[in-house]
Formats: sequence, structure tokens, C-alpha cells
Amino acid sequence: MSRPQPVTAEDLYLYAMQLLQPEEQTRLSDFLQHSPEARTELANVRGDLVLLASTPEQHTPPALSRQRLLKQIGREKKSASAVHVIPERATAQHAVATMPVFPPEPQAPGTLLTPIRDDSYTPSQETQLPFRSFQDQEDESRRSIVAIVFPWVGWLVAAGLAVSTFNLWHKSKTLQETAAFANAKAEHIASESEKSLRVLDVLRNTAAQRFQLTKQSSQPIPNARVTYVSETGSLIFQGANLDQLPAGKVYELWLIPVGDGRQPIPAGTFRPDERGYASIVLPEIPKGVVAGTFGVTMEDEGGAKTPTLPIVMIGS
Amino acid sequence: MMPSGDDNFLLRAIQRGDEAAMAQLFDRYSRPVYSVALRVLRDPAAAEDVLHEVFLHIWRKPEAHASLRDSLMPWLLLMARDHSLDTLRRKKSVDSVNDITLPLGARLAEETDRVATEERSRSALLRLPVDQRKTLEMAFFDGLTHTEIAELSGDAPATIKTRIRTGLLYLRKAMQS
Repeated sequence: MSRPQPVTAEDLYLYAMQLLQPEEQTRLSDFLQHSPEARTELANVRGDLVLLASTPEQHTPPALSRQRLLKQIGREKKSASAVHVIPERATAQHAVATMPVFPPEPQAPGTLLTPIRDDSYTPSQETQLPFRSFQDQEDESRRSIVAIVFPWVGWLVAAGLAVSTFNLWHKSKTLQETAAFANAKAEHIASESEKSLRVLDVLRNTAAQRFQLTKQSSQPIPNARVTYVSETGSLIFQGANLDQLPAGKVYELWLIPVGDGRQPIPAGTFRPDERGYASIVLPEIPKGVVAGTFGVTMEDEGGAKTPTLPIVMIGS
Repeated sequence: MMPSGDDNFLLRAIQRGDEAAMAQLFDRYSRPVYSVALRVLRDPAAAEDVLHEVFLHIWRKPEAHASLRDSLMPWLLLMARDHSLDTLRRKKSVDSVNDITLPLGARLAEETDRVATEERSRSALLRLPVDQRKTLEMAFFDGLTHTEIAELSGDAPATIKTRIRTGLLYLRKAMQS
């Protein structure tokens, strides 16, 4: 890790002129935050730069630049005045307007007109305002524009309202359609969910009647059926005619994956009821395991991590 | 003649939305601001755009200069230079701060003081050795970094840095003498 370079007096000059690389500029900014002396010196350096900035030959800007600026600020003021009310405005206007004007350049007599537009303040007759004649002209032209534009304002407002009403109606209709679709979807999901719960209840219910159908006059033998979807890791096990277990023992179902050497995965334990029925519904097993077959072993209560021989039942 | 410290008065009026005060401020400082922009850009139309931007900034954010000590001109000149260089580089630089301490003897509040300061600064600059003067001008008005100036002049970058500092210190001392 390299040590940071020390800040030199020369660096302050480059910093003040914004001529350092961005990371150097940031380094000096951080340094200045913690050094009052450096900040004082930076202010002095800026003072030196002001001297340098005052050395170029002086040129008068084009006359239109003044008009351009005043038009711009007039426009900005108009838009702002629609929102803000500025207190003490007339007082400030009067105070500044009565101050002697200090023009930068000698101008021809009669051209000392400072464009100003002010909707909220009317100067008194006694006030010497060098801007008045320009303002009068502007007021007159504004009045004539208002007279032309005003009759159309009502129609424009009506048209605007019609367009916005149509937009609102269209949005409302779209929202209604979206809501109706969402409601239908929710109803469908609720219905499916209820059906699934009923299936689970039938499978899990210990009071459910179960019938094993076999060839007539044959002896019932222990058997089980596993329905398994590897993609989702969903499994349902149903056993019938299972032998009863000694105390402290359970049956454990094992998923035996495809492929040599792969360890069996425990898929839940169960104890058959007095009629020899048992089920396992949706045990927690990993997704995506392709099963070669399933087996059942007898284990101690609580189950085991590896199967204990012998295998009581095996899938075909 | 305007009283000293009148810029603060105008700024307060501008804060209240007074266009006439803005016009007066423009009349007072448009010439030096435009001159700096023209010196950097060497293009009257582009310099006029910078002039417009600088004064529009004051109109929009007069409160940013409420702590002004004496005259708005130091800040205006540096802002004109920075905005002009931004135009050249087509990027935005960090806004200059208001904390500017002018050397003793440099007064800008009054028109006569401004002219006197300009003349003394110009005279002091001309008394600098040519290569030092050129270095200062390349850095300040052309916005060249010390390494770029070193490449152009064939001098070591450290020499350029020292030349910039001693040149500006000379201007400071010239105003104090």
C-alpha cells in the first residue's frame, strides 16, 4: 500500500484552477476539510487568480446580450410568480429604481432604457424611473395580445378538459379490466387450493376407508405405491397390508437415485395403523433427483441417515 | 457613483426578484466577465453565452452569494473563467466557492478601483519573464494542466508548478507594494 503524496503549496494553485486529475482534486478537497490554514491560503490563491483574470484586454459585450438576459429573467420570474408571492417587493423595487443608474458604456441620448417588466408594482409619478417608457410599450402590447387571445382561452380550456376526461375514462376502463382479470385468477387459485387440500385430507385422514383390490380368493400381501415427481421433489407414498412394528421401531422410505455409488436419500418414516395402512405425503427431499427405485427398511424411532439392512420392501 | 458594498444591496434586491437590480449588476460587471470569457474562448458568440450563463446563475441563486464581503466581481471573474473552460472541455467543473481573499491593494467595489487594479495587474504580469507569463496564461486561460504545459514547453512538470506559484505570488506582492 503506497503512502499518500503530501500536499504542497503548488498543489493548492492547481487545485484552485481545477487543473488536477479528479482523484488529486478529491484528495485535496479532503485535506482542505481538515486544514483551516490551507483553506485560508486557498482563499489567498483565489485572490491571486482574480488579479490574473483582470488582466485581459477589456471588451464590451454585444448590446443584445443585456436584452437577452433581461428577457430570460422576465420569463423565469413570470413562471415563478404564478407559485410564489414575494413580500416587500414594491419597497425593494422602489429603492433600487431610485438609485442612480451606472451604465457600463456611454450610450446615445434617449437610449438609456432598461427593459423591466413588473406586473405587481406601479411606480408613482414622482419616482424617476429610467425604465418607464419601455415598460409602457410592453404593457400596451401585452394588453392587445390579451384581447386577441382571451376569446380562445375558453375553447382551449374546454378542449383540454375533454381530452383529460377521455384519458381518465380510458384509464378507469383499463383498471377495471385488470381488476376483473385479477379477481378471476384469484378465484381459480382459491378453487385449486381447496381441491388440493381435499386430496391431502383424504390421503392423510386416518379415518378414511381403504380398500385393496386383489385377485379373488388370493391372500393379501404387504404392498406400497410411490408417486414421485423428481423435478419438484414431490412424493406421495401409500402402503397397505403392512406388518405391524415392534415398539421403538419405524419404517423408513428411501429414495435410491439413478447411478452407481449414490447414497440412498431418506424420504420419511411411518408406522402402519392397525389395519396395515400408512402414508407419507410430500416429505422434504431434494429437487431434481432422478429415482432408480424406492425401498423401505426398519429403523429405530426417529429414523436413520443410512438404511439398515435388510430391505423390507423394494420397488420394481 | 455607487457606494462601496453596493453589490450586497443589489443581491438582496435580486433575491426579492428585482429585475432592475439585475440590470444594474449586469451593467456593472458584464464588461470584465465578457472579457475573461472572450480571452479563454476567443469566440464572441461563445463568450456571450458564458456571460448569459454567469448572470443567469446569479439571478437563479442569489442566496449562494449572501456572504459576499465586498464585491461580486472576484467570484464573477473566476466563474466566467471556469464556465468558459467548461465550454471548451464540454464538461462541468465544480462550482467555485465564495471564499476569495484579494491581496491588499486590490479593490474592486468601485469602478475607478477596478480600473486601477486591472492596470496594476496587467502591468505586473507584463513584468514577469516571458516563459513564466506564458505558463500562467496557459494554465489559467487555456486550462492546460502542468503536465500538458511541460510537454509543450519541454520543461519538467515540477518546474511548471513552481513557475505558476511564484508567478501568482509576484502578482500578489505587486499589488501590496
